[in-house]
Amino acid sequence: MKQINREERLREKVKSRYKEEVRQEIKSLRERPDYFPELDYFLDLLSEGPESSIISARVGRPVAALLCLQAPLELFHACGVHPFKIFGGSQAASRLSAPSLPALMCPMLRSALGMLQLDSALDGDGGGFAAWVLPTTCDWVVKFMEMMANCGQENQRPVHRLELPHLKDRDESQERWLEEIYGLRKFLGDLTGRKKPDRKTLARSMAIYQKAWHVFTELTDLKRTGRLAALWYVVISNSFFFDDVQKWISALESVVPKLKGRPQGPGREVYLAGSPIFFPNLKMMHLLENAGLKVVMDDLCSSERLFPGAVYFDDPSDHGLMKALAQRYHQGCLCPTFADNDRRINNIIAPSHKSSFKGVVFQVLKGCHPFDLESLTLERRLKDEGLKFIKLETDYTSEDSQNLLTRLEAYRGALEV
Amino acid sequence: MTVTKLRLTVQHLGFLIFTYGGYLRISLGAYLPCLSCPFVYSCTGYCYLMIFQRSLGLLLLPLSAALGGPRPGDQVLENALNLFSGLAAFVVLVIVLGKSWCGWLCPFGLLQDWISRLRQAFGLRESEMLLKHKLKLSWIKYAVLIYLVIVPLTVSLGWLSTEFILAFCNICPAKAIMPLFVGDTQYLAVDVSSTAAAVFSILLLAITAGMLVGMFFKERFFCLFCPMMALINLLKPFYLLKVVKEPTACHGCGNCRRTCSMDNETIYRERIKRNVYDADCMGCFKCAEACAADQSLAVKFGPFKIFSSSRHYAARLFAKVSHEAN
Amino acid sequence: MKYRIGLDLGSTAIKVVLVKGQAIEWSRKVPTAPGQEHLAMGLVKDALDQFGLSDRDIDKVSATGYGKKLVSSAGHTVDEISANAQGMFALSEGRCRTIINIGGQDLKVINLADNGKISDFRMNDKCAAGTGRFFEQVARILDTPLESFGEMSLKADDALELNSTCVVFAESEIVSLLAKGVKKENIIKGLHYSIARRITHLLGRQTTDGDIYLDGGPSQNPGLLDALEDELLMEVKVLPQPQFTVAFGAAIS
Repeated sequence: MKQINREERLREKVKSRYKEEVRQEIKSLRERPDYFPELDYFLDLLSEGPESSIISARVGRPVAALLCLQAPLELFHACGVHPFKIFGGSQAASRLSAPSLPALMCPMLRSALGMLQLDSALDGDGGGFAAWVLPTTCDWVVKFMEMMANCGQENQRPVHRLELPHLKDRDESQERWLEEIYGLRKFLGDLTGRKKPDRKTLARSMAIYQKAWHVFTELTDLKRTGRLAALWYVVISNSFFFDDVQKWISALESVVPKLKGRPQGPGREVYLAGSPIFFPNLKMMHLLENAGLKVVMDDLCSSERLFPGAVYFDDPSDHGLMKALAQRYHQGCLCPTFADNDRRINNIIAPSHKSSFKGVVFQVLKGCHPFDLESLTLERRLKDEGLKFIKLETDYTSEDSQNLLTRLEAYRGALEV
Repeated sequence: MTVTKLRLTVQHLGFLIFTYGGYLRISLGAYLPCLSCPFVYSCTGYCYLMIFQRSLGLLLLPLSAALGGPRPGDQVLENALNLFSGLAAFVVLVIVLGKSWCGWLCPFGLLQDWISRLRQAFGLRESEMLLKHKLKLSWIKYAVLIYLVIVPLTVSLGWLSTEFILAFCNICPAKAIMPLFVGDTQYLAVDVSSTAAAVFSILLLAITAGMLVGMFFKERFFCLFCPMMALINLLKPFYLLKVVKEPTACHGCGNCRRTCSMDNETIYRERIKRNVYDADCMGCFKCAEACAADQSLAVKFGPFKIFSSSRHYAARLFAKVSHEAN
Repeated sequence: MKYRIGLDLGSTAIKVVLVKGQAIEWSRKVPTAPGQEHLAMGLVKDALDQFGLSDRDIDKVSATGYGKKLVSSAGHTVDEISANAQGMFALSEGRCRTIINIGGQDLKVINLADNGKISDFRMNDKCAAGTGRFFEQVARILDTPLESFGEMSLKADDALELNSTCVVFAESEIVSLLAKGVKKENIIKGLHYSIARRITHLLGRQTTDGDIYLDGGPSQNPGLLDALEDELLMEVKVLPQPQFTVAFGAAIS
């Protein structure tokens, strides 16, 4: 009895600390000189948080929890399901899950597991996520449900894993992945009890997400030209899964015109690569700004890679659409968990010839091995290209902020040479 | 205006001019590198394959005369010279537009695209041809080209009757189908004037039927067999209009490969070379349009870049598509 | 000619230099303690008094180090990596191409281009292994003054393999070695080698052309220098006042 009491109290304590983290971050964002009221929509989504019951009430559809971006969002939409990508950016929440997890664990998923423990609707049948969809990307994601159970969160909902082929270029992989995507459609169909969406419905869903990508591209350009601070860009992209896609699009459409014609922000341009960044842990973004660095481009799956981009199809049959989705979400993905990910570097080198950035900041979350591994390859090749490279290994605590800031400041100095 | 819209417009204008321009007394010569079928009586310009076969059919006459055959008249020699003057015109046309004759101008190519549209309207999927199968088939058009050369040459030696001169035209499905656009159905009937004519016309009907089925399920199915494509391919190093790739800008998303009507893979797989103008490419440049990696694919005319792939372009294109879909 | 003042507010010591032209006229350090601005300004006052100078004789006051923002009277601040680079390049008369800096809580390797600008640098993550803090900790465990480390390690008769450079775990390892009767000299030599290995690791694959200089507090320790040269397989140079390079660099920046 005492034990339960202690757990309950810890949960309450973590919850209030998490809320404080969020409150402080939101407050600091609102106090920025470049804040304007149209951004409230995104701030409100983030400050209301990722509680499953809040999300399902907001979108009015069953919500499937999703890890990683290889499962086509359009397919969820066409099947009448809202995909919600699980993430964690709260240092406080990590406290709940850490005792039940490996010590050298990815801080992002440790925090995500903590956030799930905070989610009261996940306990019973009263709400929460209708299902779980997990593409097998990194080891942490593969073992996610197991870790969740170890954290005392027994999942009662159906789980669908997509076996992600880690070779993108092989035809056999493409065929297998397409089978997985068909499997996902069947799973989502069984979940809702509706018959499978016809090709027109699917094409419509695809068009909606293309629209989202289109508006997001405009926003990306505003960031690339320095009219939007990268910090806001992270806020906006982080909020994507919190609401119905069309509502998010309209909110974004009201932001874009406000930014056009704005003066360019200060700072030396850099490219940010590496592990994703999630609200409310925007430590790295703040440090970059404080060091006088301006992120104009990135390859984080939490920001610029949020959408796979143009899903081109030539064959509008049901099969053609499914194939286009499967291939685009697989072949075009630059996640370091792929074995043949050599083209990732192109996403940095090619723009560097056209853009103003001369350096790459690579951030690795401690425990995120795929990014850590690739950082060495990138470093070698980017230095060959004459770009400056700095790797920062960090986690969600703030104790290394001074160390990181010193390095970023010196890095800025080196860029100015 | 998107590249696709421009291409559709050009294709349709081309179709109208090639097929009906004769009514307006337009003449574009007999050296066109596309299947503008001479059997369409109002046609504006002739598919070069016809004059090519005719010239070949006369080419070796002097040789056969030396071997004791009939002496060729002056007119015949003049026709043989046509082979060369015609070839020069053809070569110039090919060098200027390259394979885009197939993707942008060929009326028979447009017909194939219509048939694909019809399949799409039914919501039927395109049949997929695995690369390994396709590679096995890519020699066919060269075999057809060799057939197209050998038979008229044999005629010129006097070893075959002159009915065989148009060895390819006689079995080309364009001959059966294209005249229908001017209401001419005569090539759908079996020609019983001679045995050879009867065999050719039956063969033509069978091939046409087969091709129609193929074209319904597979985009640009006939192009796999087209000797014109084989002939154009021989000039590949000299094309002015071509697609090039900057492999260091490619993210490998696969849009280019998926959109390719000819199922070319080089454009996707190439990681080092800039030259990705595949032998089976039809120069439509849908790949460059579908590419969302800035500057990764470009269309060049000589040294000038006339189109470059970009995120912006792709995003605008898709915004338009989504607008149409909703 | 006017004077300049460089303040280096590090994690273990506050260093102040008075600079005239490109020469250090006066230098002094005190251990870091609360009230850093007061401590630093106290040293500045000492310098001014000694040279009979007034505020008007001072062209510029520059601060660097973790505490640089704490000094309100500093007209100029610079990060310690850039300050280190500038200071070392000037003091080595342009010969230095690689700096190894051992600070109170960090290790840095800085590569310089031929024009003295930073071409690359590496720095430890949040871990004090091998830093000045580690030395202090070991000195406490061995109950031996830090100043005698160099001399003692030169007297060692055996190079001991120490497994840990972690401030926390080294303690238990050293205590058990002492219990086994291992000589302090040998332990200190082993310690120098373990730090040298850590620095070599930080240097990574970079091969260096040109001179390598060591600076920071522990660089006056000849035992460490020996170990470092042995591990790096290269000659490592040390300037006469290695702990003031950074403050000097700030002053001339």
